[in-house]
Amino acid sequence: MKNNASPHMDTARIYHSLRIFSILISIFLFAGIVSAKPAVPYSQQTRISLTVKNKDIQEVFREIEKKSQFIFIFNDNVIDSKKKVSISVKNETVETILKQVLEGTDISYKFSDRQIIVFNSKSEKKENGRVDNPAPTSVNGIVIDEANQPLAGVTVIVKGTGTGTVSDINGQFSLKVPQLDAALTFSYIGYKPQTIKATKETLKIVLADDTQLMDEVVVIGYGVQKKSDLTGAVSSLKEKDFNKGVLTSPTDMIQGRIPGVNITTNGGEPGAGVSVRVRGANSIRSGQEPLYVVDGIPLDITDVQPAGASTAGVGSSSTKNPLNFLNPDDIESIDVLKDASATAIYGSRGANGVVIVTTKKGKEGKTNVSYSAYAGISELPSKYPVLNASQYNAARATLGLAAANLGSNTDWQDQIFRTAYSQNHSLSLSGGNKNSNYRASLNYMDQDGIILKTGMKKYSGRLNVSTKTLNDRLTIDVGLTAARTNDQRAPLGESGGVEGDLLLSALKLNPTYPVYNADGTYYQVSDQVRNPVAMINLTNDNTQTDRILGNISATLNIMKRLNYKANMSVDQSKATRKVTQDAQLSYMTDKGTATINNVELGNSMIENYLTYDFKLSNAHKFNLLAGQSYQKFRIYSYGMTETGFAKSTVDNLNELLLGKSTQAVVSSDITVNELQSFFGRVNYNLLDKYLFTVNFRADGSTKFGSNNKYGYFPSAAAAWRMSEENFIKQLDVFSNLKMRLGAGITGNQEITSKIASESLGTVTGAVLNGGSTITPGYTLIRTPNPDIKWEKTTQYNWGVDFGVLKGRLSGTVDLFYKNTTDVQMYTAAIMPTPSAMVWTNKDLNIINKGLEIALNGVIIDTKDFNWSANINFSKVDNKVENMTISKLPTGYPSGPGITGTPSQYIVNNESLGTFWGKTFLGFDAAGKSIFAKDANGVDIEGVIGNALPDFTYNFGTNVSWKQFDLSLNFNGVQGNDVYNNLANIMDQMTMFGSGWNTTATAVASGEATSNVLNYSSRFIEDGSYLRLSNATFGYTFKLANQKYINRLRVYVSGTNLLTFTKYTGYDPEVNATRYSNGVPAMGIGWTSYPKARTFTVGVNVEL
Amino acid sequence: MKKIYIFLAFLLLGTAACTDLKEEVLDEVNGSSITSDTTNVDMLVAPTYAFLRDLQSRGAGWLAQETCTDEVVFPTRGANWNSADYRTIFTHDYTASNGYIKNTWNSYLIGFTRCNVALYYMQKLTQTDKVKQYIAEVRFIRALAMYQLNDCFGQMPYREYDEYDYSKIPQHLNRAQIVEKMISDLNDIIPTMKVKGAVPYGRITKAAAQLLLAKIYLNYQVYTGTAPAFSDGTGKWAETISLCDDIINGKSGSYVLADDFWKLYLSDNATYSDQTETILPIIYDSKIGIGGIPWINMTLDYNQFFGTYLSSNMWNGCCTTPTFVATWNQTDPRFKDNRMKSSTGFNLGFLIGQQYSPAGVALVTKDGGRPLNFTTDFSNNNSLEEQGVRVVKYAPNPTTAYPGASENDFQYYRLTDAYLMRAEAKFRNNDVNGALTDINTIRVKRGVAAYALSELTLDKILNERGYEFYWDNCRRNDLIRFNKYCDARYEKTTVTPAYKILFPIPLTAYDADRNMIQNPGYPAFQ
Repeated sequence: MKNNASPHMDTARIYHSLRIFSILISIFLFAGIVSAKPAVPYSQQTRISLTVKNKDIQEVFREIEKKSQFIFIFNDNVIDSKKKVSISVKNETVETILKQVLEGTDISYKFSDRQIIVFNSKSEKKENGRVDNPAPTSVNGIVIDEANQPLAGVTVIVKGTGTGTVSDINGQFSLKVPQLDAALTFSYIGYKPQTIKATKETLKIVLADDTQLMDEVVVIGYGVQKKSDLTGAVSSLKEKDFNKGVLTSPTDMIQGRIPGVNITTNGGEPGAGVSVRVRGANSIRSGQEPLYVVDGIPLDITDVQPAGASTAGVGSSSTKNPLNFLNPDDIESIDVLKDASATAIYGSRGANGVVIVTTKKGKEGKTNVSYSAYAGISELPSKYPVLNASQYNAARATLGLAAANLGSNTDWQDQIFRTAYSQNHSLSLSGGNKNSNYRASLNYMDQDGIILKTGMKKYSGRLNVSTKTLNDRLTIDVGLTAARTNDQRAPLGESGGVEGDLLLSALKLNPTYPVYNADGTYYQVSDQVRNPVAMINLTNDNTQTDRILGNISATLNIMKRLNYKANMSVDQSKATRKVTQDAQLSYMTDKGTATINNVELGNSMIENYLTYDFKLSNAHKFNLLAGQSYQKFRIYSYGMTETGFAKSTVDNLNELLLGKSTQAVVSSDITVNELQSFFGRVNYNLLDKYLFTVNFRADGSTKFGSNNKYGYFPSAAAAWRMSEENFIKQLDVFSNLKMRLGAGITGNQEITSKIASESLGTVTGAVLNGGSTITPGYTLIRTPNPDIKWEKTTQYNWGVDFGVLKGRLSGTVDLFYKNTTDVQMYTAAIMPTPSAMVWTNKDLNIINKGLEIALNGVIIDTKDFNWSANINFSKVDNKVENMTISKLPTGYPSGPGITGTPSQYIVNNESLGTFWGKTFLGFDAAGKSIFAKDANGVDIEGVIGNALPDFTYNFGTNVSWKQFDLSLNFNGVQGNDVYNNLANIMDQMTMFGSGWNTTATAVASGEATSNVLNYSSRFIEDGSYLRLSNATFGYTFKLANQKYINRLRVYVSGTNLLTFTKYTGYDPEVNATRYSNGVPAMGIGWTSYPKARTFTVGVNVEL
Repeated sequence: MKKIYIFLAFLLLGTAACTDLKEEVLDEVNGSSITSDTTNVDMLVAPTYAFLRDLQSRGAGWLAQETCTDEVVFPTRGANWNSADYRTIFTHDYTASNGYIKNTWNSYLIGFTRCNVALYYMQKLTQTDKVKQYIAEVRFIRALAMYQLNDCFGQMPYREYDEYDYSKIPQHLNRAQIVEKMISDLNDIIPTMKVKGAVPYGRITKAAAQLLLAKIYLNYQVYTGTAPAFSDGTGKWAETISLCDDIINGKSGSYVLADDFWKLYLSDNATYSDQTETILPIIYDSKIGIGGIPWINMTLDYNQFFGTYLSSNMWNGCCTTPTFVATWNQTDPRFKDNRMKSSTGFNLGFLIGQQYSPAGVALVTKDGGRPLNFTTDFSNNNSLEEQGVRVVKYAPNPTTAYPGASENDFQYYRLTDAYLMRAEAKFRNNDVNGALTDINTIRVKRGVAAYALSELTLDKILNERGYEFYWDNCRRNDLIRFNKYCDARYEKTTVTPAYKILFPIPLTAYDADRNMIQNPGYPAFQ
């Protein structure tokens, strides 16, 4: 007898399992939403339409399964496979159809809840006749679940016959068996089937949850897989697992939730950029972000923020998160592929991990309308402790410095920070029938920043439609996201000079200065001593980003078990940044300016792949994948800047002729890249215990040099479901135990374009005619490298997934070893060459060794009171080995006088992010810095810190009691050092002499105002922190008598509530971008936009 | 039905036709059509002339070669100019990782390669007279890049112009090989080169090539001798004298000594330079995007703004040393000139003592409001804002629209140099009378007292070169030839070991090319 409910045992298993899964999910959700409602019985009167021609009976059964919620249970030998039937009915009951189909056969059937049990009436009779068993006997029993609840509708079959029954509402059944000791098989969807021998006594059968079936489906590259079948390291988050509070992008939703995934935000600006590191830093340049795949579309995550106005001393503005265009409310799940066996299917883009985002789809059934909204209020958690006016005056007097007192008492931070408000509204509509489903959503978000005139507004919509046609053999899925993001920004920079950006200006400015002159104009001292209020009010900086992401895919069931999928997508975005600066600003050199910069991003893809499932016997099951993909990327940026605007009475961008329009500076740049790939995968499942996966991908890229056009990325993994072994079962400890082992090679091709081939281009020329016309120069503009290729990361992973205490405590432990070679670096060229530097693959190793632990526990699980907790822990040891070149400087500090000495070096046998410099010992009697010296009296320079943490840890808990729910989440980072670049110029006395403000700590330090402002260990601080990142308290209303509203929940939520740290800057989560020759630095604190503390009140309604 | 599926499948597959993955570069000019068109030869040559401007780079050659001498220093000033690379060049504590020495090495080698690229394409063109002439000019510029590499580093990696594969390990030339190659190249081109007037102002002339060759001969003893005295080297004084004779006697074009020294250094010095003594000017013109080294900005105090130069244009950086100031008779007109004081507030030449605004108001420091009184003393490790004598040789245009860059044409070679080189060669060749005539020709022209025969020494010749060419980027070469480079001086109290006369080969050169061998005395590469 074969149980059709077990999805991997039948031919249509993929659809089938998905369908069962979705049914279960909907039942689960449904039950969760309306707890009191009984399950709707599956009526034999359900009517369907069906047309089949000349098909065998099994196929007709399958058609009925697809169009109804019935499931057929039968034994292969019951049905005459040679018999073909044709039928065409409209809107008939299943029973009627079955009668027609089975007419003239010996096949009978029984309805049992959703199951239709098919058996051969003749053989039953024959058997009964042939076997001499004059005393068939009755057996009785009850079927219950593990929670001791009776199970109704359980199918009970006498093994080897078609005889059977189903349990009644009380779980009881009664059945005639040919003899005692006959084997009885009990099966029920969602439970493990069980076979026992019939006895005289009343039987009590406890059916166990089929965890395999109930198991989560995990989205992997080019497909889905049951979590229990996974061989790789994949972390999966569903909607319930996501972070709460103000969420602007998918990365906000998973920060701190996944071990081995370290997400650092670029400060607190709404929609700020993030750096995401999956299992450590693999590279010593940019392009370390994981690959993002949204519904099968690999995104181009180039930050589309166009450059703003270039203003001396402000520095470049921080990045924005390129994933902001996705509405968190549309996201159903986020799966992070971490090890090589999981990511190798993405080949040259897999080395940094892969984040797969799956959006919500419509579900069969009733139309669901859902609305959620929140309103929030944000504030600066703490101000930077600069002196106030009286402290400032007193300090100058004490030090004998000339008074610089203008009589005001201005708290410049109060002048630029505000209490900010935000609101968010999401509306979605979803539904579907047997053939089609849809989900449409709209989102509006308006988030103000805590610095004046900053914020983000977002409008987005998403549509998912899926439909089946061609006799259900062709499935068409369409997805479309359209989003507009409006960013309002202020002159804030991630680096900067002596003049400083808005925030540095506010901190350094003499607190006795007034904001305004008597005539109402801004009090501005000079071009270098700026008034931050004027900077805000006289600058307009607005960016509009429109992004459309659309895809259409067709899945064709070519023949039994063989499916073909074609997926086409386009991802277009256009960002326009418009900046005007008013002529009144003290740092305008040629009156006001107007700048427009645009970035257009295009990414189109087409991919084709085939999947084929087969088995050699029940013991050997295979799943094959083979495909091809082609993706083209285009980035075009262009812009112009014009000066000479005397006034800003109109928006100068609308009237460019008011400035020096004939002298506008224009620019443009274009990059086109293509990626062509071939990939394949074999999954082999032996006895449901031993699982094997082999992946392969070949990637060709235009970025690679002519000698290395294609990279090849193989991986292999095995898993052993130990809990399926008897010797583990006997222990009766583990509800789940699986060991995984994998190895593979992945690549990183996020490398600079246009570096492989030689290029003749123009350079600034010279005067060759003796007059004043310049002849443009034409020469090789770079040193070509035809050997350039991807970075190669070899990764080994060992992992264990376990569940004990009947699954109430579950967890995952992973150990990994990653070795990146062929490291791409912008390094010295073999002179003489056209340029000093060349992009090349260096033969060194970047090693990341790590341990990841995730634990989930259900502490209390009763009807009214549930309490669960989760914790994860990650430790990554990073080391650079076999580096044969001299140490690479990076992380040059910003600010006056300290820009010439790098704060970090990449050093052989040290980890990335190594701070290098003099060791500060204190001040001598004259107030000058003393540094550690060697025997010759020379200052020692060496390792003075490291920006990588010893470990990170996150924990959270969820409690629900009746209608109340509470969740708390903590994020922790331990053992990292931060170079407090801001303190280097604010917490010292050197600049105080020339009129800057400072802190009380610096005044008390004994430092002389003539001390040299050096970079040293003095400002390397412990960056460890523990943050209560979110607390949410909610209440779900009881709506037993409510006809229209299915669910109503209200909540209050707080984000960034408490931070325990020794770091003295605004926030220890620092991420100022500092590059030197393409080598990024880590852990540098600057005047980044401070992270806000936010409180929200929200509501979720479902109709 | 099946046919439809198959058709559909092929349709979808067909839309993803294979690509050859050849990189499509849309924003760079396609080279083939430009490089093969003879009318574009100027564009091929222009990058090599652009390299001449790099000789004055504040981040590379000019800084390295000037701040290792007594002429220029960038002292640390509290929060500003705090860089060990600046300090160690001045104190001769430089190592293979000094950024400015690295930039210097890179600058000359990139210049050399630019010449090679131009030669590579020009050789393929129809050899018109114009092309041939340009080839000679570019070969001069290439020789000049080699001259600098040889002078600073004593060795160089070398590729011939037709060696186009930059991933290959190059040849490595030692000092003797470079010198031989330069001499042969220059001797090859000098007969074909045009004289002044036959080519536009700013272009390479026969006299320029002869002067470079004369310089190689003048330094031949250094290039063949043992540091620091080099007395065992071979002198090529007669060859030097002969080449200078050609230039001074007008055989290579008409050059006359300037009557007004300062007019050679004003912001609009092109015409005067062309009319008088300039043999190799390097043209700057901010209006067309080629601004020069910010002479004014990098030395003047923040509060010395004037005309269109704002406070923010001033960096208060470099100054000169008491050692160098002490070589002067301060009444020398080349030391100080007041012609621009009314518009700028400061004199040209050396700025010492209390400074004034254009309106005559005594200036104060930005830090602490002390009198802005430039002192001769300074501290390399930590100077106050007002410490150090400032130098303004290339005069600003007070009304320029480009206060961030200079517009003065750089005086790379002047006729005066030919006189002083000949004077030195004659002196070293025991023709003291001849030397006296030459040096006094210059001194009289500059309005200072002529030397008597008994007064003339090598030191006097060195000093005279200092008076003429200070901040013109030849001090290092001169000090070495006169065996003064290693001497103790102000803020460098110890005598430099002789091996440091050659700069170290930068670490990055070894990073890229394991066949590089470090100059003797420095820690070997490993």
